[in-house]
Amino acid sequence: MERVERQIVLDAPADDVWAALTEPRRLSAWIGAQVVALDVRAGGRGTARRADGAERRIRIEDVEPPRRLAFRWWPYELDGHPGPGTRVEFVLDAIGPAQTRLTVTESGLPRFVDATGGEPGVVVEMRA
Amino acid sequence: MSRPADRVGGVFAALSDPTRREVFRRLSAAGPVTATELAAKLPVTRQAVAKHLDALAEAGLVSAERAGREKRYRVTPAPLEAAMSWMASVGAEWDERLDALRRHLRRS
Repeated sequence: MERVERQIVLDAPADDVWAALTEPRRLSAWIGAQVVALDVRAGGRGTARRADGAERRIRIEDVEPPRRLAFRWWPYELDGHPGPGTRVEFVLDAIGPAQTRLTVTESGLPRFVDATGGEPGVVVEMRA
Repeated sequence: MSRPADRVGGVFAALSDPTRREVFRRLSAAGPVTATELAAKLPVTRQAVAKHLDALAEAGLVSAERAGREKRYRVTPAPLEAAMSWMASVGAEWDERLDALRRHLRRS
């Protein structure tokens, strides 16, 4: 598994969907964490905070309102190994004035392949 | 309280080195073994193997117990399994988020 893609048709105009993707208060309502800040421009930073206080860093990579938004983020890391993080890209396609198709792709996930092949224990390949 | 997903970075970092992956792989197949026994089968020194084992131990992927002069190492795969199931959950997390986004847009 290297990337994950999902698509959904939303009953809202593209501008409204864009606002829900870029305003911290609105993002916090659906993304699963409290987004305390987000500077929506290339290179801009943001922070998402979990209920227990753990924080997740966000860095905006591409901004093309209201059509495309991409950021890089890192897992909630408490062990000091941020790694390269993963890239999340949203593409918004207007379907008429009142609907938007949203595609989200998260990429850069390391691939682990369980290569036990009959050998005892867990044996893994890791492919970038 | 940390969750398994919080250790994912450490697991990925520990397994990002190909020699270290090979040490882990051989240990999975043959443990518990000493660093000397592992080094005998690999084109690296015993000292290098010991360093890799330390890095794997730091990520929680191996544990050691004293047996005579040298330690014997074995894999403790739980953090790896946690990392693998975290990756498998990424898609499901997006399903939840998009459902929540749809509900959010309906309310506003």
